[in-house]
Amino acid sequence: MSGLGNPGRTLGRVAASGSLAAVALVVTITIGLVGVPPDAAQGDVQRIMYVHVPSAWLAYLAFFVTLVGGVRYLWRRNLAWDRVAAASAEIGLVFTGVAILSGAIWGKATWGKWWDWDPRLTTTAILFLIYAGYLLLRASIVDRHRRARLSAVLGVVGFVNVPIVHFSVLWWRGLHQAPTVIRPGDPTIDHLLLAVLMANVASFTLLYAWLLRRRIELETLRDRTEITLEPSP
Amino acid sequence: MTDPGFILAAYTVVLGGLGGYVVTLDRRGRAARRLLEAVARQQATEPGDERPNAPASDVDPNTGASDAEGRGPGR
Repeated sequence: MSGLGNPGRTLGRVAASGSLAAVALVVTITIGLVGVPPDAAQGDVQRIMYVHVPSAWLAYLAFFVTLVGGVRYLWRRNLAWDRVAAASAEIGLVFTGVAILSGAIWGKATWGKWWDWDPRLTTTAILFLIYAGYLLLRASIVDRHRRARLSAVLGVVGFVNVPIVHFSVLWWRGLHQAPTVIRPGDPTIDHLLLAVLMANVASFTLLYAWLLRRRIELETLRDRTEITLEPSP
Repeated sequence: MTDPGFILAAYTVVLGGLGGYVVTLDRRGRAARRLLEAVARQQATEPGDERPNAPASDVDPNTGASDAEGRGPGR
């Protein structure tokens, strides 16, 4: 789980998976920008969807991994799972941030304003604050097991907001459009556009996997430093 | 702003944000590795470092006095 067994081989694998993610991103983003026709209703500005939606979904995935890492830590008391949870929470926060900002730009183009206290936007902002709080909590506790325990609890409780974010567009009325892919019944999006969107989701997922690996390595290095600095009994 | 302007802005935010995070992560990784190595080196040299006999690097080359002997401020 540490991922630091053989530094040379590990670096090679990490570089290879990073290159794969980079190539996949270039290909799928290019297709989204110039390879598919514009949306019938929104025109070219709908192309923002190909980066906005994957960012939002990857945020969901990242926070789900934080949930799993937290639960596994609480169950097994193995700090390796805490490192996974912490790493994924930070990456999820980055994806949430870019989803909010790209959504604001898309909102300005289609609704005429950067921000609205719409249910989807508001619950997403709350999601951002929850996981920013998660990272602040971690930064404020020195004892590793206490930090892991408390942040695992916050990671589990915080995840409750993820389905609220997703279904907010069905539960309350607002400006944000209803789900077009993950919804009861068939997706309402054109099949070609859906295929390109899924390709972008796949390449963003590769990027997430690579980032997660790098971030876990960083957390492992920090843990090792803390262990080295701990006074001998 | 026109459609291409909005698209450019959104893609810049997403790719710039993720790219910036990758660069930051790389720098933090290097810094953490350097810190761990420095701490490990320090721990490895500590057994011979028994105060008040300070390591050679702490000895003033001009006077031969060490921190442990209370040279005081102003070095």
